[in-house]
Amino acid sequence: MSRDDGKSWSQVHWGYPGSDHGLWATKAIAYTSGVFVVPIGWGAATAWLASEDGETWRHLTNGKTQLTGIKAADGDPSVMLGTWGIAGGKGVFVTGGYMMMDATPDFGKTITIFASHKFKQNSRSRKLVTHHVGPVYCGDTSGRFLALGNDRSKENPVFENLYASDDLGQSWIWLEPMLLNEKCNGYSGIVSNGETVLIADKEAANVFISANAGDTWEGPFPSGTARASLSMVGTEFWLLGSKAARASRDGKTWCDLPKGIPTGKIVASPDGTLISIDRHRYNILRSTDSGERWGEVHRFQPETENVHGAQGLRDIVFGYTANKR
Amino acid sequence: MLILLHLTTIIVCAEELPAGFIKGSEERRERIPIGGNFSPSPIAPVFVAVGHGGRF
Repeated sequence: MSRDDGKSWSQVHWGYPGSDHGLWATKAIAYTSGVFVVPIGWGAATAWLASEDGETWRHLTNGKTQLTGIKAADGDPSVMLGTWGIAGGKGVFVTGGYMMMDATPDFGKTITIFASHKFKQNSRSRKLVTHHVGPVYCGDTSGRFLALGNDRSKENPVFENLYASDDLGQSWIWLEPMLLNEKCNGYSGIVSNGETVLIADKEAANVFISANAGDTWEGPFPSGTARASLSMVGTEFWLLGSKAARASRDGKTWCDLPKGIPTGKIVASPDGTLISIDRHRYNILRSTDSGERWGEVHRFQPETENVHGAQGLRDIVFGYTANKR
Repeated sequence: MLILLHLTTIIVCAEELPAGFIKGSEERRERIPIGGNFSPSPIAPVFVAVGHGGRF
């Protein structure tokens, strides 16, 4: 965590050596209204760790919500539904993973579950079998959460599954975006700048955009790069690949970013400071000149024994904590 | 109970992990306190990054 605009960093929490699958798998973080939440555990019992000061981390849940549908979790109130991704907006945290989505509007006091099995009543031809479901908040204008998930059905469509919630995660609809189904080859990321939602296809060579929080889509728009990772940097969409880094304000037209932009994920502060992480390296980089020059501001030693999966940093957010030292 | 939950992980990973390692990961999880008592007052700007192992 950094409290000084990314100049210096300290490790504020450590659990136990973790892998892509296991009790300490850690891949995502979300922020809303002064609280940070990190899901831990994938392919194993999931827990949501939370903090409002960035240093005192505990379960988000108060342990009194009786969750159903979690096998072998009887009696352990800290176990949450399997969580692949998490998003925050309007003081609500929304998560997705397998066939259920959760939401908590009061920082863990109450937690609701929406079972995707309800979609089986839908009239479309294929049965919903999904996983790796990750939500994104579209912004306060629409107040909508979207979620993207892989499709494991026999009829596996080229473009996987897209869901939408207009009541802050309480209930969901299974969207059928015809343009994406016909022209979007998988996906590698989804982000929103509050006005436009953007999906990068599997290779990030093309993107698709929506100006109405996912109801209708435009595209494909060539990004000018490939095998790139998608970041929301301020209000701009950035695609960062090893061969080319490109940026766009509207998703339609793309321009080159400065040479030497690091791969991985980038987040910006409101003042424009850029912070870069990558799952394949063990440091944090910082730029204060829109990505022209970068400096290493933190380095750590990764775990090497009894683990699998990239041990670099996976996700990053900017937010506000309660106390200021 | 977490031993049962971790069984899935062992199957998925298809690898041998030392029994002490697995027990340690479970015990570390069990030491995390329950929450539900958050009092946010968002005033101080911060960046927070995360990675495997509960590395924040």
